[in-house]
Amino acid sequence: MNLENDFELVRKFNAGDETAFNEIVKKYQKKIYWHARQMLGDHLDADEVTQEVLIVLYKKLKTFNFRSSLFTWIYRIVTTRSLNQIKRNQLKRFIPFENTNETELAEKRDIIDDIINKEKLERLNKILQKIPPKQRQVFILRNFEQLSYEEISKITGKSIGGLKANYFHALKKILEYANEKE
Amino acid sequence: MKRNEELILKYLSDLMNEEEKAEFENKLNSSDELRKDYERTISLINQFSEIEKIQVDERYFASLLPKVYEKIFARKSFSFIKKAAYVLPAIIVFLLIIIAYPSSSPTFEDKLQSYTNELVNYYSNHEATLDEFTPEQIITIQNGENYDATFLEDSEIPKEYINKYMPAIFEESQVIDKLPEEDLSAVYTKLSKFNLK
Repeated sequence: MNLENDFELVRKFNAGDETAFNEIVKKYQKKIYWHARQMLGDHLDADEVTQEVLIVLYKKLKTFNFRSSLFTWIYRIVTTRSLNQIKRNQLKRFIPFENTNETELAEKRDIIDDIINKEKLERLNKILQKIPPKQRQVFILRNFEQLSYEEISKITGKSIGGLKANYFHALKKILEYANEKE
Repeated sequence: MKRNEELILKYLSDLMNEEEKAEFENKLNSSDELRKDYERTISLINQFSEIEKIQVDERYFASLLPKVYEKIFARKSFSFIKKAAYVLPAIIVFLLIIIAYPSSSPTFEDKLQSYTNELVNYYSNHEATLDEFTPEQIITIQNGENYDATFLEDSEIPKEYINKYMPAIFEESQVIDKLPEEDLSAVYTKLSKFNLK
């Protein structure tokens, strides 16, 4: 990540240059989306979280204090929002909302057209969704984002020892579920 | 696999100390079974890393920013309407209160009027004259110029009157400019009843 460039973009945006925000969005939107998508397992929820995160960025960039990298700051928002969305979804399961068409809608509106890739993603998502959210979060940040435990610790605020344990259990469950499939 | 699994996962999670790590790496070089299990685990994990490489409809990302801006501005408008919904009734209530109950704190004009009345009453009761109070000084007040009230200190006006009213009147003498003409005339007329030099 180019920290100086990120800081420059934030400074420009805070000085009133809206195009700087567009640059930030272009740079991070895919990372935000894919993190949310892996955390939540479907396009509709990932889309909602992505949009919310970008809105929060727009509103809160003025409070960005340059103490961490923009990347860390954005991921802090994405991970929090994704975990909150999971909680919301869990609550919805207890309350009988009229959401019977949601899965159908999510499939229809998905941004992956290729059937083979879609099936592959669904298979991996099914495994990911079986892992507890906090373990899933560490797994995604470490494996997908290739972040170090130190970086993950800055994002999640958890101790490195705890993160290692979470990653270990996440891997263990992934292997269990993968072996079940075979 | 089960036998090696724990070791592999501990190694991948960085839960081994340096000694355990070195031992595991040695075993990885010497044991085909462990290496096979290790490679299988890595291959499985790597599948998740490849998710981002999946081809997606780029139109989604192209349309994301306009959608976000649309929401931001919609929320701003809504926020304004929401604020207005609270603020407008509050303003109306506030105005009604002001109209119904005029401010209880005396204005400068009130203070001046009150001072004048008390001054007049005091000297009427004591049948005294205020020799120090010259018409020029009265005119000075009328013209809104800074007024030196020290002459009153030697007069017969009790100190409490001076302390109570003079600061309010003379320190804010510039406010006299704001006094309506008729009020100033009234002050002048009332004070002129005394035998002024």
